[in-house]
Amino acid sequence: MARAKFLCDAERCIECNACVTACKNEHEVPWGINRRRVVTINDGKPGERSISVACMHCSDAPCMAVCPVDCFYQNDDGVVLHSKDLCIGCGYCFYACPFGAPQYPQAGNFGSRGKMDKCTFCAGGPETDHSEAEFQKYGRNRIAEGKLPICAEMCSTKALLAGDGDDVSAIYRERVVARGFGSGAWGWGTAYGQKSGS
Amino acid sequence: MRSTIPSVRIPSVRIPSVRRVAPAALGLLAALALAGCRDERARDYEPGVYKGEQDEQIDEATRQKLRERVRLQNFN
Repeated sequence: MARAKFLCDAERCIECNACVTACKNEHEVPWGINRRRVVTINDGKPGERSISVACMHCSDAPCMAVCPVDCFYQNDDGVVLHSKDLCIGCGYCFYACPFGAPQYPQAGNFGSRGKMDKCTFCAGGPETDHSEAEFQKYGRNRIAEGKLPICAEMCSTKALLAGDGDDVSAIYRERVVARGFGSGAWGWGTAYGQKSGS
Repeated sequence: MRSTIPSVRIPSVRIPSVRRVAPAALGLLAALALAGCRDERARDYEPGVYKGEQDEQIDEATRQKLRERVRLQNFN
């Protein structure tokens, strides 16, 4: 892949939450943590839109910039990953992220936070691929199996697209041309510094 | 009458004194205790440099497979 990207076509999302459920199931995400969420804007009003939100694996990731222990890294495909061994659960990345992607499990009483957890683009973590440690900390490594993120593959309307940025934007561009309207690739510009679909 | 049971000679064992064993035992205990404090985490912090475990990269064949899978998402 040239550059792994997510694209959520707001014109197509029907708020079924299959992406959320599939993600939780695939990675056995613990209680209280949602790596992906569906957000509805203008709920019940004209112009209502739903968007599926998770870590967008930004080109110039703000979480990486603010991390005081540098626990983030980007792999060759541009996927933003982190090491839970280095994370201290400070919460800076949560404040920096424009998508609210970083999540924290409750580590104890009185609101103490555990290690940060977020979407991995189904690419696991720094541990050995397909190892028990990798699964326990980061979930399944579908990318190493030659599969795309489960949320996008499960999407019934294909509102959520994942994969090589060039291919994803080509699909989206074709759609916009076919239907003659819509620039609903929410978050694309914020994450990749480009106009939607470009 | 002579006994038929063969006599067994038990070799004499010298039990070392506590004074001689104590320092060695203490040393061993200290070594074990310090081994428990051993930590694999990166300690030499360098701003902006990821010092964690290195991730394995996917090979070109897997990358090609992923590209083909992306195209399956294309339906209007």
